[in-house]
Amino acid sequence: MKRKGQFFILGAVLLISLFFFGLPERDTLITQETDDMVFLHDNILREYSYAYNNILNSTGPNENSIGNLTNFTYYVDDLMSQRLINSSIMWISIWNITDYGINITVGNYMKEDITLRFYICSFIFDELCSTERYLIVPHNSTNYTNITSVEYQYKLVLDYDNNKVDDYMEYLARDKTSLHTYLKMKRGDNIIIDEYVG
Amino acid sequence: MKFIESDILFVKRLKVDILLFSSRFYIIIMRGVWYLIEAVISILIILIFLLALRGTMIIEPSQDVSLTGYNLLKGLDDRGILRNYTTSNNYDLINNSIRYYVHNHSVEICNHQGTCSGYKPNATNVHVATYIISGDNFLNPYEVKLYLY
Repeated sequence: MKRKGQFFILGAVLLISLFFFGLPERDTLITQETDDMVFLHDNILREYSYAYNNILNSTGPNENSIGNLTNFTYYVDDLMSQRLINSSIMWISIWNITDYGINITVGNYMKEDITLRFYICSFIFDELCSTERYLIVPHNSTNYTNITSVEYQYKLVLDYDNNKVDDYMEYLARDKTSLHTYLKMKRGDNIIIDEYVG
Repeated sequence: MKFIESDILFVKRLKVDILLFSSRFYIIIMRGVWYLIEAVISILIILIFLLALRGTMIIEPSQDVSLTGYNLLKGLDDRGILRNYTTSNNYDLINNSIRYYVHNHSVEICNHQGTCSGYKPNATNVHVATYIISGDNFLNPYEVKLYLY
């Protein structure tokens, strides 16, 4: 009996073996699911309060702390850009400047100029509120205002640009430093917006 | 009943013809069976080859491995381990603190200038989870990357 078929099989095995040996070594394939935006958002919002505490530990609440917070914001923005995420960040830092006064500094990295509207209400008498105040903050900059007479415990009500952000920071203590962070992330059609008070 | 000689001869020839035909038929059939077996083996070899090739190139979509990685790093941060190890650039201690046995894992730490230390695996299907650390006691941001592969 002629045995031609076996040689075909042997040839096929040899060819396949050669193909496997000839395969180029593939580059490292690193995958990162699109859901990474969710946990990066969570991570960054949490980290802002750590960052601010770290800054306060070394500089205390002053202009230097604002500069450092700005640097951290640039760092975060750069990391997000590397992941094709368009991040918009706004933070509001509050600390006391005198026995009864507080400083409110706003950092705007929202990719647009903003006008922040805010007022302060009494913690005890909820209806007792200050007049509205406005703070214009151009993009990529900070601006601040001082309020000279604030109760020990108060509530800060704020919004900017026709209620794009409408929120309040409740039970703030005059002698404590607070940070309110607003973070929006966008990649393609996916958008995550949230804020954190610490 | 009598047979004439030509009839006997005819029967003999017929017997021979039948024998010859059946033996040739057997050879043909057997040859066909061998071809069939060879074809089946060839198809199996090609199928195994294709499946093997496909298996190496498809990224496992079964679960969000990067999310698992993030939760592992967050767990270390919640336990108060990650910050200290990160700022002291101790990627081995971070990696050894991770209790995860589904994939191999390694850790890389990058500072704010983009300088990284640690082990980045040279493998296929690597999932990476990133965790940002702003510092420990003073501002010194790092990016911790956990590779699962």
